[in-house]
Amino acid sequence: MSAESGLVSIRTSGSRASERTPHGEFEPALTHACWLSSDTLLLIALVGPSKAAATASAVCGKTTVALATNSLALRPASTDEPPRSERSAVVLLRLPAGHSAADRLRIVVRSSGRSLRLDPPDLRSVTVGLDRLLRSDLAGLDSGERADVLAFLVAGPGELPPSRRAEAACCDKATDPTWPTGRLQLSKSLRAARQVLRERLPGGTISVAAPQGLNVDAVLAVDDRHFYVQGWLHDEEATPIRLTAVSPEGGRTEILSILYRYRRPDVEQFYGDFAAVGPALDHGWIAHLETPAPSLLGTGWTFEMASSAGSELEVSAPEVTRDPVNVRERILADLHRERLPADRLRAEHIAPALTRLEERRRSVADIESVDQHGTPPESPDVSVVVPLYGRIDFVEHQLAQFVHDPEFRSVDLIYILDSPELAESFRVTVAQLAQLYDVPFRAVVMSHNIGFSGVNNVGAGLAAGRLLVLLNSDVFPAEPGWLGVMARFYDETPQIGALAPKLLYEDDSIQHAGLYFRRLVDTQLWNNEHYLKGLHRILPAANIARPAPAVTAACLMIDRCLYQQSGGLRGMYLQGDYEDSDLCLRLLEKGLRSWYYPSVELYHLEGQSYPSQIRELTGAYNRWLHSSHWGQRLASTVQILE
Amino acid sequence: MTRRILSICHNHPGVRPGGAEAYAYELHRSLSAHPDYESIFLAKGGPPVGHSGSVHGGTCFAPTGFGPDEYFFYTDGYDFDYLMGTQPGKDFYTRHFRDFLLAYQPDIVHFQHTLFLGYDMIREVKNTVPDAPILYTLHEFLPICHRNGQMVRTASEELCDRASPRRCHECFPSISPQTFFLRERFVKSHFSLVDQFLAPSDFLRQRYVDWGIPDNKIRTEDYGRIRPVRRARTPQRTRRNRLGFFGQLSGFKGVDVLLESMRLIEREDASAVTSRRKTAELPMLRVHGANLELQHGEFQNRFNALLAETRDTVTFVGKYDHDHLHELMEQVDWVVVPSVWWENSPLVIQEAFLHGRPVICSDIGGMAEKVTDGVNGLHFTTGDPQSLAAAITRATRSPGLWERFRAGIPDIYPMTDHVEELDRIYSSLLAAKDAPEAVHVG
Repeated sequence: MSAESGLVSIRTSGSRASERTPHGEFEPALTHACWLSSDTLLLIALVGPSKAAATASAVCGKTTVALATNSLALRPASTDEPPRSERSAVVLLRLPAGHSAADRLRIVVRSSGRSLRLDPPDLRSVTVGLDRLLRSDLAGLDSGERADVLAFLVAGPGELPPSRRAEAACCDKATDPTWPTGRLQLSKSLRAARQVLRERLPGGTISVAAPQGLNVDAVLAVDDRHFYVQGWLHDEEATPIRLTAVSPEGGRTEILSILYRYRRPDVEQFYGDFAAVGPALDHGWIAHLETPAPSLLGTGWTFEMASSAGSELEVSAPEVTRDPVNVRERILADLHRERLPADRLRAEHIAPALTRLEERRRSVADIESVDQHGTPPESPDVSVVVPLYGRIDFVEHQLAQFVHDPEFRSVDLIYILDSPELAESFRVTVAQLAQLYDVPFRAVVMSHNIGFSGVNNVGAGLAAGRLLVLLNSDVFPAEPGWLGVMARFYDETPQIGALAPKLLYEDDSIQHAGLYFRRLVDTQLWNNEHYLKGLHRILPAANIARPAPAVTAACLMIDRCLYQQSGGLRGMYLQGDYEDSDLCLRLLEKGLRSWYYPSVELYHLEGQSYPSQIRELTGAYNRWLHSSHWGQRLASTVQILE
Repeated sequence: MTRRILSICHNHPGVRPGGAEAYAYELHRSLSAHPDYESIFLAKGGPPVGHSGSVHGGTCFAPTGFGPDEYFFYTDGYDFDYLMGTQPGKDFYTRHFRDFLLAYQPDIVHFQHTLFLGYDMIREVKNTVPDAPILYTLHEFLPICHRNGQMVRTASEELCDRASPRRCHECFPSISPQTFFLRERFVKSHFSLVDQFLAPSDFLRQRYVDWGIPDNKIRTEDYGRIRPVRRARTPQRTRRNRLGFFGQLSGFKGVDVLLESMRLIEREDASAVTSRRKTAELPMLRVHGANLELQHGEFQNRFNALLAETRDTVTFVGKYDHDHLHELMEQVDWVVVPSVWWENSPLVIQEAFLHGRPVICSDIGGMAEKVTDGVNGLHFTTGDPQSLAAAITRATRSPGLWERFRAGIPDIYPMTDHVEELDRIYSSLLAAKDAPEAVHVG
């Protein structure tokens, strides 16, 4: 490779010869290069004695664009170098968005006023595999410097300073800023670098005889920077003074100070240290942590622990759990580790993790398709949005009822599927149903599961009607004509926010006659309660139209603009619970009241769409979230309206 | 002008015999013979009723081979949802059935059954030939009751008088009450498109009115019967002590109740032998019927054990050919109908009456309605062998009773009258459709 290439535009240092320019200055020379990913280039270069940071640019067509660049000067490679010898530096640079190594751009690196021009053939001549580069140029460094290199690598090329950002506006390539190309490849390169360069601590062995023990039970990915980790630790000699989570890419996060500690009877049993309990000594720990750089890899997490007695150890973590549904369930399962009214665990770990998880779900979800069935109504007055999750057989049963209601010929009916795995079956089914039932509707498929609030908000965004009705798929009208009756009441009622009808169980007992808030005994928690639930539909108290503290979103009518101005349903709640009261409370802050309207009856086959154990966990979480958000305002709401 | 009527049935009697399909087919033939009607008979073909499925690709229809006005409608490739009574693959209706309707353009559509075809058939008729009146004859309680339309509770085998999501869930704990709620709403959605329901008994009609079918949309219209060419002779006998059972050997038909009552009679006689009662005076029973092998093992064992214990009085004839019914009827004086479900208008009662045989039957539902206690037969308490034994003893030991009951047997509703009545019904439905502002009962 290098020395034989005979290129004039670049000097390589393969001969270890350092040359001076005619002016007696050092000229930068390239030792090795390696693409860590398709757009991220690692260079080992000889730069001048100065420690000045390197910058780089690329020539793209006729323009020269600045590149995000970072460099780390290394100590002289050997002591026999002259005092003012050139220094080795590690340079990391990233191509402009949308470009990759395959574009073969000319790259220019500058350091201390001198520049190194890399034409594609030059670069190719010094390009080596990552393993070779690590072993020949970096593995020989001492442990401190290797740690510096690792930190440098994981930090990445960084961002261009604002002053140079304009220069980076490059030509013709379309870019997707949310998912730069080659991120996974970069992560794998970083992990490979880490495996070669890192200093290993003694492995932690789980043994009754060992004075220290550390175990990581699970690493749950919240997004690519946030992880929810569960584990336990044991230190019989002293208290730990450091606990560090190290991502496969090498990102280090100190977590000792943020841990939530709790008792682990199984670990106490194992070590037999029943006496050693107390808030600071509890073995179990939970941490919602943020890494300094994105981490995409499933394997390679290590956790390091240092004790005040001086000993250190490290352990490997199990493979990262990434499936959002699984992650959510496992985080929710930690709720019981905390005894209310204490809420540090949920406030500092569970809620931030779940909120980010929901944000991640929403950020990746998009409308995959919208199919119109039947003739769309012209300027519909009412839009009905029906989210579908888990099962789609309710569509047929709703259509079998709507078809007998002439109003539905002019309703903007929107079915939105929030279970992407059912997309094909959904499309086929609704296309066939549309042939049998003379009810126009749109069938929308989400690319990813987005949750109850998200899917309702997407539906509202598509809706064309002046009035919006959120309708669960397991709600079925008792009689035709209900929408018109509700719309008239909505229009005739001043200062109305949301309107919901009487909902019945299949045995004609009351499922919904308005919601109110009830404080759980001895807690700060408020439960959403249903008025008169389970009682006969003919009960006089259930047959008076009246304002309620809140109403259900299972069947809720609202002015569509008002809904959107209010931000719709909020995404922090999980799986269709408390979003409705949260919306009603926000409307109430604007002076708009929620109304219960019993002249319209529908059946609500509640709770048929997902398993009840999850419902219990999400319910507990949502209740806490709702209570801590609205607090005493819930109490005053009841007083105002009752 | 000739009216084209499409009759739809869940089976063809040429594939497997059955009461409802036999009637439906006879009606089709009789309508065909009527100068004002052209009748098309569409029978569901293939499994589970028939053994073989469709033989032609690209179509669900095939001639039955019995005539140019008959078809099989094969459901091959479709997975019938028995609970909801629907084909999940809707193109069964919107493609195949629609094409058939467009090809034939019936003036009237008369459903005899939608089992294995689905209630959506009704909606497809409404969609494709909206001017054709839709009739639906109800043969049992299948739209109401998931247990084969029997309305007998699963756990206790008690008679059920009313369905509800909760009660149905009690019978089928693995199916939620919400699902039963949806089932009822689904069936009623399609039923709301039917112009006229026909019930062969007042009893059945009332059940459906109670269930929610509007009173003005359902009327009682019994099965018409074609008078058989040969009727059973009535040999002179001094004692009228011969009994006959004709029907499926299933629990619902109560054959075990009948055998149990015969066992009681034999046992009572054995204890009375000491007082010199003559065994020759005992009632004698002939059991005609098939499909014992389709019943669960417990029932089969019980049936066989009872047969063994009643060897002196019971003859097991087994499967019988309907064409030879008159010969079998000649050998009996009484016909026993001991069903433990409600029945509708049992054909076996009509047949017994056609051949001049009084009937001993359970005191419920369609049986009690069609047989008048003390006039042309006797009622006994449903499912009670003691009560049945008493009725048999009374029937066979009371001099002159048989002759009196025989004289009380009513004329059977002839198919010709039935067709005339249907003609009136069809005509008034067509007239209502032609009226400028047709009243749609929704």
